[in-house]
Amino acid sequence: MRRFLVAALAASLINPIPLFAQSAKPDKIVVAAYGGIWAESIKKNFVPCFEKKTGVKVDVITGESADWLTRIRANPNRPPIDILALAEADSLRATREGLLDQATIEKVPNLADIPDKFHKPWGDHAIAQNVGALGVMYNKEAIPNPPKSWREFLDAVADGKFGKRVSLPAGTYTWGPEFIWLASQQYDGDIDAAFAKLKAASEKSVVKFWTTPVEALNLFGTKEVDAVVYWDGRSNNFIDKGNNWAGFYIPDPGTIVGQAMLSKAKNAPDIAWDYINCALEPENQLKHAETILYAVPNQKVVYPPSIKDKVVSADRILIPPYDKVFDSFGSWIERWNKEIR
Amino acid sequence: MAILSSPAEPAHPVASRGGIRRLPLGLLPALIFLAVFFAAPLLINLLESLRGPGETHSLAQFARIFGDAYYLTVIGQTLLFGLVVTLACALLGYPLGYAVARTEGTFKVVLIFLVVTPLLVNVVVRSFGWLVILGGNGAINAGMRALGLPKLNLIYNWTGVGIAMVHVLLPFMALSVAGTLETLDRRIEEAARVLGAPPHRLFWHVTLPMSAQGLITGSILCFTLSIGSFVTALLLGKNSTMVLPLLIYQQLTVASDWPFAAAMGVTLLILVSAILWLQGRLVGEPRGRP
Repeated sequence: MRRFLVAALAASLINPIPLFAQSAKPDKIVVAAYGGIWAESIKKNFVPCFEKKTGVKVDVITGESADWLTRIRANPNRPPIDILALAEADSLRATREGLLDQATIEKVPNLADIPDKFHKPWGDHAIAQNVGALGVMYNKEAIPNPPKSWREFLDAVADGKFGKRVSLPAGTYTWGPEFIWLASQQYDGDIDAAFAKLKAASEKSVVKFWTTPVEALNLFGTKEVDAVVYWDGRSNNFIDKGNNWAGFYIPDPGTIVGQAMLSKAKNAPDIAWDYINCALEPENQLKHAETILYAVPNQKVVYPPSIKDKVVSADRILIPPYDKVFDSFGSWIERWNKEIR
Repeated sequence: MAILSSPAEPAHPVASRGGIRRLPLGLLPALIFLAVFFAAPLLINLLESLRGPGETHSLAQFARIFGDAYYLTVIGQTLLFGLVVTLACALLGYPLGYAVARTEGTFKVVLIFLVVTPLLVNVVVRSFGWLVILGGNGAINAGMRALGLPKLNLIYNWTGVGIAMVHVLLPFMALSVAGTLETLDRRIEEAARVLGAPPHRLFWHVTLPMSAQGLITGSILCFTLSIGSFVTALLLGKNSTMVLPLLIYQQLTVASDWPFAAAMGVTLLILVSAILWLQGRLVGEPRGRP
């Protein structure tokens, strides 16, 4: 592989074939997870199922999507991570580069209960583990009647209706291109109209386009802004901690989601499929949803009343047509940098 | 050209009859380390920057950078930002370094600890700390409000990024200056004083020239570190405060355009090297201390 010429060469010299035959039973597998409550949930809700079933230990490592992708790119013959949780775009990149194995019902029986939109766009090389929906968290005192739809919200922000007290995701955030796509859908898919609105919003309303979720929460929590476009699970967590002055909703007609996409790295041991199957078990999926307050894709899961209104329903989820828009992401990011100040 | 000496040859630098400097064998591990962890990654980065469609090589990524006014602007503001931060560090760091060099005992230890404190805190934590202090509802603006004064816009602009950057780079300047001042022969300043030089002339004509080497070392450190930093610009700036390292980070993590990121990395390296070379030429060889 050219991209990591020396690393790959060195790896192949040391280990010209995968160290473990794919079918051999390893001592442990390495699973990637986002930090904090995400990793805790995986250790609590998925790992025991896999360890009990296989007798193989799980090493959960925390990090970020781009970092994990880099690691398996550098050593595809012996991937340092067996199970990945890449973002949607990185899953597509990894799929195109042949770094992921394709799941089937035989390998992952619980795949049968996952709707197509959560795995087919990735050619079954990645399956959604959980689904975070993008909505609006707002200060109920400052904005008692928030706009009902995304279009009304974007128009209001572009017109400066809320003053310079708004924060939106940056186009350069991991899910930034998807947010630009969502904005364009409110204007008949016109990407120019979306950029025009976001540019006007930048001038009249936006204090800062956030680039990390922590940054967004900091802006809202310190009341630097009255409205922030943010993830549902994180918002509900914040509200549940006694911040009753804050509200959260998903504008009509629906929203994009941030998905942690489960994948088995190519050349990872086959037993790793059992981990994915455990993660997609209805019972484990529900426990995961209750822990992180994000929706899960398994359609057999029945949410209890305590979280039913906090997780996005499947019919409100909009998945961008990645096969059509993915190759535009680079140019959208470049345009974002040039036009949005 | 540098060559390695054989085991039978002296293990200290000597000039051969041909003028070729021989390096001691003891440097071999360091050279291997540099080759593997410095030269090889640079080479990989260079090859990546030249990667064209398919198996071809081209300068297309560099043409993209130098043919686009936006990227040229970012390069310009990156360099200007580095220069301004370095200047601010020099203005604030010199008196601080002077104080460190000219104090003794417990106070000196306390002063050094205070100077290096910014380096003990993680960059993300430090940046969020600045958000709390400089934000619209932060400590400074709370004070402004209490005094009935208008709100100051101190973050998400060059001011905030600059303040945070100077804060963390100040130790490099202060300690470089202090290190030089501590080795100066105080009798020279004493002689100037005895000969009637007033304090300001003593500083301009004796102390400052003799401590210039520390100022130069600190400036090099501050400049190179400031134009290579992106976390502070990411958290305390916005799109209008774009710097080249942040663009590189974006291309790697979001756009996943590695050849373009590599080309920007090579460009940054060449620019820094050129500026340091130019600085070396302008400053010239340091004058030996008496």
